[in-house]
Amino acid sequence: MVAASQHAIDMAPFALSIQLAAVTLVILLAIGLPLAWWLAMTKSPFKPVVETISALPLVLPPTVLGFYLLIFMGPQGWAGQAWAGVFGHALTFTFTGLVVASCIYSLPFVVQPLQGAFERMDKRQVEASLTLGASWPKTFVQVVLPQARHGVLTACVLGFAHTIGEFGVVLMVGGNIPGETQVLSIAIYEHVEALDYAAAATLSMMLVLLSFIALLPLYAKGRKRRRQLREVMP
Amino acid sequence: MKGVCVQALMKREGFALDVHAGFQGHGVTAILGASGSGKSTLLRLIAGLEKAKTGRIAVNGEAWADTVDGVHWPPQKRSVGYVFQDYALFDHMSVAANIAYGLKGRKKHRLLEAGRWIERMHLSGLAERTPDTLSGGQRQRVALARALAPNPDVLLLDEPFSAIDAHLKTQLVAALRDTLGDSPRTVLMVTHALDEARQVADHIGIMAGGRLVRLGAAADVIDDPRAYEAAVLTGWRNLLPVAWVSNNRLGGKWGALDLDRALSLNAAWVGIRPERIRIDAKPGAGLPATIRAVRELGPVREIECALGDGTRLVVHKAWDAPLLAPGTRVGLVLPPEHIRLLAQGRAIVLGDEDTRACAGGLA
Repeated sequence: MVAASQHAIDMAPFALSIQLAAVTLVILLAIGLPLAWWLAMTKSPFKPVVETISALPLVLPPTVLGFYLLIFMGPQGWAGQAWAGVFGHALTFTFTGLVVASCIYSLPFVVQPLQGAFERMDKRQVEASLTLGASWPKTFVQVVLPQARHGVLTACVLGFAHTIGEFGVVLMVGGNIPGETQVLSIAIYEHVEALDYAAAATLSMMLVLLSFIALLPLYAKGRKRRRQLREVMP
Repeated sequence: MKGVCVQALMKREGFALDVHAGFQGHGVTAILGASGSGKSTLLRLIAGLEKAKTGRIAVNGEAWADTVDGVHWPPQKRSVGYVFQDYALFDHMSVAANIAYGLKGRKKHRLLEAGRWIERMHLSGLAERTPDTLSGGQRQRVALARALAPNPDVLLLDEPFSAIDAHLKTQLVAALRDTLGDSPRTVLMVTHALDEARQVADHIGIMAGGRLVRLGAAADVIDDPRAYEAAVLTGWRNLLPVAWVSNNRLGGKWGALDLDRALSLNAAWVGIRPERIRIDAKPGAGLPATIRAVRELGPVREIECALGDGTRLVVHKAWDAPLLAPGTRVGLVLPPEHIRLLAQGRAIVLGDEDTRACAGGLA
């Protein structure tokens, strides 16, 4: 049994994690949709190189990725210097820095489901839309996205859930500043270090529930689809 | 010229398309060819889904693509209706939404217009259904309505019957002919089936090896294919290779023939339809042959004969013609007026007036 926490549990990390995951997901969709489309359609010889770079976060240890991001985004790094030149403050140990790091860390979890969905869809329908005089934006919204909707849902769920659960990269780039960079996973780690297991257990359970709620639509959708399929099949 | 002028060269992964042709601005032209002959690529080129390496595509006198002037209209700008082989209907939309998709104007107007097409194409009661719940014939009619609703200048049909059951095909081919009969636009229908082409088309174009080897009125192309590949695709079963030509006489290992006209040195083959050959019971008349087999094909009796070198010729006679037993030696008379000279490729073809008019316009 875990003893009751000695202090009231701070809910700020919970809100910060949700905020970080939501902002990251919006940015990742804006980057991921065109990138995944390009990867699915291109015959460019550079495709494998771009695919490999975008998949690197899948295999790199979070601390390695976090270390490089810390170097690049820090006051001596070119990205950090450029950022400081425009905004007047460093990128590391800020919420914005966390968003940038999360976008890089979660990129493959958004791009790969989207790319797969675009590769599997019926390209003739896209061509049919174009020959019917529809613009590219209309074709993308009315023909491509409905066909790729399961891939888009998967990308949203995985992108969101993966950002919620990240630890190593966040710790390296954001540190542990309450209200600024102290996300749920960091707060749990801190509670464990302080031997406040009750608080750690409560926050852990919240993370489990949050991840469960994030993943549920994905599998519920799959179940509904299978049921619909059974209904139409003889 | 009203119609579609194509002068295009395209190369891709070991395949080359080289087409120079003018397609009429009314009636239906069937593009007949074997798989891989480039007939679908030709349609995709006209629709703007593929880009020619060099050349020009003009529709009703307006250039849609011209590599010299750097013109390449995207598919959205071309007035094209395209019926894909598998129809490519939008599965997530209703029948009405599919048909209304290419229409311009307010939603109410578009749905009203779609409703008219639904009625015209005998799809009443199916407006709210999604394509995956329709039969093959219904899906074809939705695809046709969707392509025709925006009133395109060019209608392109890519094997529209390939997904249709054989027993339904005859009925649907007739329905398509009725729909397109008085169409005031260029209609190109790609097919590999001669019967579909004959029933639907006013004109026939023959594609082989990426080239249009013959184009003309349907009856003319079938009666005088002019190219070996066109003869094969239009059902000419008796094709004899020409080894030598002398004055108005030609021949090969199979024998020799006298013709009633001057000969073209380009003639690589002679062809004659099975129903045009006369069988003479006296072996001395015509080409000496031996009857090998007799097959009853309903109203027609097919007699397979072997010439001196073993070359087979097929002769069709009425079912009640005198029966000749296999092994009988006979003479095969090939009337000169029914003999057709054929080139390999397009050496002596392309006399079509539209192609000439088009080439003049393109020059």
